[in-house]
Amino acid sequence: MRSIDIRSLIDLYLDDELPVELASEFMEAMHEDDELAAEVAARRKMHDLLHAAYDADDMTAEQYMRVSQAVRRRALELGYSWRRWQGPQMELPLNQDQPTLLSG
Amino acid sequence: MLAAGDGSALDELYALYAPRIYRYTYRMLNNAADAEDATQETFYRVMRKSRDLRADAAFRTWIFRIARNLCIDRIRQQPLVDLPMDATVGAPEEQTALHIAVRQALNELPQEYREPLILCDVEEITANEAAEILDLSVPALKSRLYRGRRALKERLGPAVEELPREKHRHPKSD
Repeated sequence: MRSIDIRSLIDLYLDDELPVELASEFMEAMHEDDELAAEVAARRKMHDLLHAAYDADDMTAEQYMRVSQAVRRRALELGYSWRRWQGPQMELPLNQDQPTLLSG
Repeated sequence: MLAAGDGSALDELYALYAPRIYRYTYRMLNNAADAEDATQETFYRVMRKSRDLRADAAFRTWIFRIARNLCIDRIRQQPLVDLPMDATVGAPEEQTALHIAVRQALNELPQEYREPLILCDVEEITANEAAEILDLSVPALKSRLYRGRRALKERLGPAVEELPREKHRHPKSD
């Protein structure tokens, strides 16, 4: 820990990717190093700011309906059958309990 | 569930993914009309290319990759517009200006930094999935992500240090 630049670990710390022992050493280092603590706080603020800046990007109800109708029309034109996807080798990802498909 | 009929399966797939694909394409393209077109085209391609989906592939990764390719094509044809003014309607004036500045700063980053930031830090997609969507190794993805974060912070400068933390809605809770 002491032999490397601790600032190079900030991203790993913020992404919860540091091993537990290293993470607690990092936290101790933050208590002793105000600049490091300030850098971590600034990175967190930037992350929050990014979310806030992009928070209003949701699809409106009108857009949702418009695109939905266009997709359904195209599906009819193509004679598309979702059953083609079915079979022993394929399942459509419709079950919200499937973490690999739907977890953020 | 699928046995209930093709229409309901399509509806459910659309309900699950259209809002996320729209948000992602909007963030990539900075334009609501283009995002709507890209979302529509993504679902068209999903229908056309469904046979290409490997049985072991995650659907979400696959559909995001389709959406991403559409966005990249669009950006090549038509560079990003500067200020996404319609993105912050309803926010207090000061915050609106700041949010526009953040989006502008992200727009100005090289695409190799911008894309990992949108996927990992805005969409909250895991590094493994983001690497697959961008066709990168995980270490390469992380390297670009970390460099992108530093570059964005440098562009935003003291604004980041001086502000209190903002509360935000987490996409995972959608």
